[in-house]
Amino acid sequence: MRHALRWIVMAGVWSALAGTAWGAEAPVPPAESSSTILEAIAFYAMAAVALLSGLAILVSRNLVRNVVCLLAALGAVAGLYFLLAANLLGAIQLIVYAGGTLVLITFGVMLTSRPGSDRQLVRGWERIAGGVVCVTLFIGLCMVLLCTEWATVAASAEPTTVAAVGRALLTDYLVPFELASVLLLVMLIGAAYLVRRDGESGAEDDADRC
Amino acid sequence: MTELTTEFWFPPAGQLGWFAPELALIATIVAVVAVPIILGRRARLSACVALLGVVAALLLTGDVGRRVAEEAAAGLAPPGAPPMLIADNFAVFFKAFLLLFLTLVTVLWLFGLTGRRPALARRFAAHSVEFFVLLLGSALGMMVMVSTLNLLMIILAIELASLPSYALAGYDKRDPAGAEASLKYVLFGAVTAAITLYGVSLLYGAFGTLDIPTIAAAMAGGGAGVGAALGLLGLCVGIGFKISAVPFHFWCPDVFEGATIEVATWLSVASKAAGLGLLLRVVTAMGSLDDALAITVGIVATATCTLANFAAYRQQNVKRILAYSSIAHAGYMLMAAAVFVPAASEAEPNLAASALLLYLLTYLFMNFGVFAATACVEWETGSSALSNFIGLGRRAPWLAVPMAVCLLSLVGLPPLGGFLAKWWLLVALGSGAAEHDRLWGLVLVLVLNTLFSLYYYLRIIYMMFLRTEWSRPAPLAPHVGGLVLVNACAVVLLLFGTLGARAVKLLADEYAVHLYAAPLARAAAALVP
Repeated sequence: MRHALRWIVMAGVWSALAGTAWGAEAPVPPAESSSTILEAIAFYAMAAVALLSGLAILVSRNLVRNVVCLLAALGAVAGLYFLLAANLLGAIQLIVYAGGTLVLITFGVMLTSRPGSDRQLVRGWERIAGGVVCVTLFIGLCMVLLCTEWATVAASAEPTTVAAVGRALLTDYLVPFELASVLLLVMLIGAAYLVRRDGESGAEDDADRC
Repeated sequence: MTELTTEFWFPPAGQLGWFAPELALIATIVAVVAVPIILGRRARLSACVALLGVVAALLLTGDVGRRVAEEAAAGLAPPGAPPMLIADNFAVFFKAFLLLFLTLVTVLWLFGLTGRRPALARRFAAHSVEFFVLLLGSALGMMVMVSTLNLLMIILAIELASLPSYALAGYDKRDPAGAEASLKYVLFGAVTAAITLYGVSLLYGAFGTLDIPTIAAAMAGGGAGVGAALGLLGLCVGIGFKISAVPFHFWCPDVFEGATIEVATWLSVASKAAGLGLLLRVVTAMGSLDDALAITVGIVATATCTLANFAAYRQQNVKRILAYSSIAHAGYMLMAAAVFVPAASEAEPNLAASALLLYLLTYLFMNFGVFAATACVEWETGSSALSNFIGLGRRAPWLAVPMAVCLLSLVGLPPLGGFLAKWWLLVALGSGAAEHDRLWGLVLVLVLNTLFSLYYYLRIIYMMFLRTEWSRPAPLAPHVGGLVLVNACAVVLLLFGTLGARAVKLLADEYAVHLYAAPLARAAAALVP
């Protein structure tokens, strides 16, 4: 059953790759210069790396191998961002996800995993239900990919997007920006509370004055 | 440097003034952290600072409400862009509602300090600062949820409401049930947040804007495709999680059982109210869309209340029963969102919206009453198992009688507020059914579910008054403050059902006008210099 599911997922990923290729074909202008061909080659190479490493995460049962594959997938997506001239987003992707989050995950995996603890406790009908949901979602997303007319944005003439993003954060998106800062403050306090190991004595000290 | 500062947009004071309650809440969060640094960490001090801030925010909401009554609506909008935040009468109602409930929960928490067993109370008192920062943070998120139509703000608001709730669910760190509840809540929340974000990215990709009225206009102009539909569905998943509508309800009973009673009380009303407010806003903004959204909401509502009512039959813990009861009530209130037949004019109260507001207001008191009564029992006996309620009618009549009143109101029996809430919901459904026959189905579902729910509410009342024990049970001495709260709720429900019925209906009508996006767009246009 698991093998069947894997094949379904693999087939899904490959057709998604084909769909992306089909979608990427459309905006390429008919006048083929060498730079567009190079761009196309870079796009397909990075998309292939992203998808293949994504697939490897699904197939591999080894957590450390999964993490390495995730690194490759995140790096390839960062490459796609660079290709789209969104260099700030690409840099953030590399620094925050590939650099920060992934290292955190690696440490988490290494500190907590025990041999044999990754056994799946999934029942038969749950696999079937999951498979049905995945296939439905996949068909839906394929339809979206093929049928929607995406709003296109003209490429920016500026060499970098950093200034534009900074300006947007302090003008049009000032309110969400500030709200995000409140969110981070509240969660910082919440996280500090949850991870702090309060010894009996410390808690009592505080509590005596209640 | 100079170039940048000229471009920098700071909201003018005139616009910021409309959002004084939110600003007051942010200031309170800072104060809750800062005051103990100066005056020392004391539980009552934190609670009082929080209470002061919340009451101030409530007063400011009243002030904004008065201004909204004069000018209809206003928004916080960057120059030349649609508003990020909206202040209209709908938002004012929900903000006042959330702040009132926040006040009640804070008071309940204060009573818990003396009502609980000393060892437990000390443990909770030691972390009052964190508790109130998280509670106020989630309240702020919910207030933003009901006052925005911008997809980015909606995502941020849902996260600001949810993330502190996950931490609150595991607030008692030594209780393994709380940790399990918290983990379950986080996992469900993370998956639904991912789906919501994906849906929103589809919407943005298809329309190139984050403003829902603009998207609705583009969809009405024939731009509605599969991408938009799937995007909207993703957004609805996020909202469905907040109101624990049926495919996303699994977290609810476990979180209510595992979390402390104050947290469960807060989530049972506030999370649902904010989600319903947001849903109604999105649905009315998308009003020009065809019926697909309304039919989906109707089906979800039916599934929600029916499944919840049957699942409640087998529960042995009062908090779990109440969790399923709150899911069922979310289902009833979802029905109001499925109607959205526009009123004759913008200035006329919208029947469905009015029914929803009235239901929410009544639901606040009946649910809070039952939860406060459960809290009293839990503080005394240490658990909320149904067996702890046996013979409560004789052990603590001043607790059992008002609790029974609140339970009967949850069923929807005549002399109480719950009956009128259901009645006006039926009226709204009936008037909608004149236009769409399918709404008769919802009428039937509502009536049948009221009958189904009778069993498990009456089961608690039976345990309290009629079940006899072999051994004579020890008398219970509930906390006096808790008793006052429960009795006050029962009195309010009696008033809602009898003398105050007309006043409550008028109040709901007053806030159910100008629901549509048109006045908002006008207000936003007026604000752009």
